[in-house]
Amino acid sequence: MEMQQQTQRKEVLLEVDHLNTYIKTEDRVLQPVRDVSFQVRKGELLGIVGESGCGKSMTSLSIMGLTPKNITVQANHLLLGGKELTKLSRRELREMRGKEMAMIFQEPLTSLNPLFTIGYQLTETIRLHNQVTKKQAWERAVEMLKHVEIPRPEHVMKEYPNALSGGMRQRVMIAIALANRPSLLIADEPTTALDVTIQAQILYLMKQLMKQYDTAIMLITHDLGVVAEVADYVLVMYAGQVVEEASVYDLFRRPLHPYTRGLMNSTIKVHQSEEKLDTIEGTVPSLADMPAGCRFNPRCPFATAACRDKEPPLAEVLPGRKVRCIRWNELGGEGHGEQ
Amino acid sequence: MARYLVKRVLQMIPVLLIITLVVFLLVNVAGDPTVNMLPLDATEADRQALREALGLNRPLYVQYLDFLGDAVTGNFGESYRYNQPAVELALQRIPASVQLAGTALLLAIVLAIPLGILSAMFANSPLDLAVSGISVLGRAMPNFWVGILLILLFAVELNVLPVSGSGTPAHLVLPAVTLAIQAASQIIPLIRSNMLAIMHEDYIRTARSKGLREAGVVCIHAFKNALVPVVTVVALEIPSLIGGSLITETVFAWPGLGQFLIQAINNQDMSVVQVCILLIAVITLVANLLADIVYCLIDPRIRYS
Repeated sequence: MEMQQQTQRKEVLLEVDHLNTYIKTEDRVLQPVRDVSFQVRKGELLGIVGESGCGKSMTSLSIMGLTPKNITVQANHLLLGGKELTKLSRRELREMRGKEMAMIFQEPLTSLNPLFTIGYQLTETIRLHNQVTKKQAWERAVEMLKHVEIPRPEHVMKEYPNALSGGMRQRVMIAIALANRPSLLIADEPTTALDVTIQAQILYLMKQLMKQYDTAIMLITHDLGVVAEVADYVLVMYAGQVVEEASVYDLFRRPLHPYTRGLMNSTIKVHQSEEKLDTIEGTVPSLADMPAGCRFNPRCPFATAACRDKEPPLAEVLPGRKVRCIRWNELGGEGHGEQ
Repeated sequence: MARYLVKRVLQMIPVLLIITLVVFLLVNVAGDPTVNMLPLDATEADRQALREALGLNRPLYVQYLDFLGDAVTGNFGESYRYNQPAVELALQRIPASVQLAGTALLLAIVLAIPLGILSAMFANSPLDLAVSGISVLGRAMPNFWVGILLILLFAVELNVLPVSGSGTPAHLVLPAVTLAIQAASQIIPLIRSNMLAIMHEDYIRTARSKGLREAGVVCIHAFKNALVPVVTVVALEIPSLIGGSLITETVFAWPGLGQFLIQAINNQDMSVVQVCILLIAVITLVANLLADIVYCLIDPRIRYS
């Protein structure tokens, strides 16, 4: 991991520029994602981290064009491999899904259709995007199951999802997502619903396939441990905004935003001496009730009048590091590295 | 699967026994059949003689066991009215009932599935409101009234279809439509609500994330899941359409089991009533069994439990 900070960042695959989402309710317009900009580079794993309700999932669904009907998505740019997603017709965007970009979800138990065999669900996506015969699709599907390390793939092809464990189903989901070798895989909390031992296996598998398939991954998680394990770059989101962006090495070495520090302090460490686990006071503000100024100020132990007054910008304060905090320099001194 | 089927069939036996008991008792409390069988000026002694000849003077349980024994061998006695075996008479009526019920059910399904899906896809649109409204009406209007309205419109006013009777496909149209309206009205809201719930499932999002067309998402991934409860309702409709369309068959003079049952009841032709009710019960049980088999075919999760 130490090596990564020195390596040059690769070519940009996904460029998200000022992404905003709006939900119209009866009396007002809510904004779950606000001015979110970031890049995913080829072959990199970008971790997006934050508590529930921070707009992580909404960001990923916006890129996929899978937001619910009542949500409006606006962005200056959503560029994937040079294609402007915001300018595509519904049909063109649909054809990108499953081919150029794919997604796996949090709940492997419910993400597969219970009434269709694994074989059907896997060959469906292959046949949708490729001119292949049923037999060729079947062979390719079996091959995919082998790649995600499912034992007895020919047998599993004929099984229904209920015959498989959660971990196995998530492997199938990964196989479906990667079947057409997309350049971007969005993984929305892919291991949250799994046992800890299985989590590590799935993360390792994703990391391995990512290299093999030359796919970039956008990994959404609330678990900093997962980020530390597999991410190259990290985006920390809070209340619909990006609050910090850094390489995983820099982030863990020196978190700049009080929220990032709070998240790190609230993970259990091996050598923890105190009995009580640190937590961040309070909860993520609701969309309908955003505080003025810095959105984190009500929960921030370092908030001043200036923080309550004006929303801080997301600024590049150090080379390759952005943070949305006016006091980062005063606070970010001490190290919080895990390693 | 085979074991499950055997179990299901064995479970039908006690149910059938209970039904025979109920049928037997119902018919026995319905009144004295000898009143209708003899001329009005017959004496009490004549009636007593007839009761003895028919075995009606024996204790109830003896009569029941006797009835059961005969039932097992397919002997339900003769129709008082036609002097022919009741079973044969009833069975003769089955084809006409099956023809009518089958046509009605097919029509109902063909109508209900697309309308139910469209209603769900365009929920709360004018189309949805229209379909929902019509299906509420369809459930609220009694069959005989719908039948009479259809006769008035198509047979009397427009004079394009026969009023009643049987024999040609044209005769089948009005009674089948009458029954189909009611059946479709039961199925449409069921499909609609199932589809609405299913469209929020995670696997629908997965299907969309694969790049599947919305039509594919709806008609393949969602529809198959919406089908399971529909099978239940269709299975419940089958017996009520074959044996239960008493009034519709009577309104249209359709020579089916339902009409036959009504006539038998009016004539106090008790052995025919018993056979008809038992036949309807058996059809109900078989339809439920079929539904269970179809469940297994649709939903793999049921197979193992």
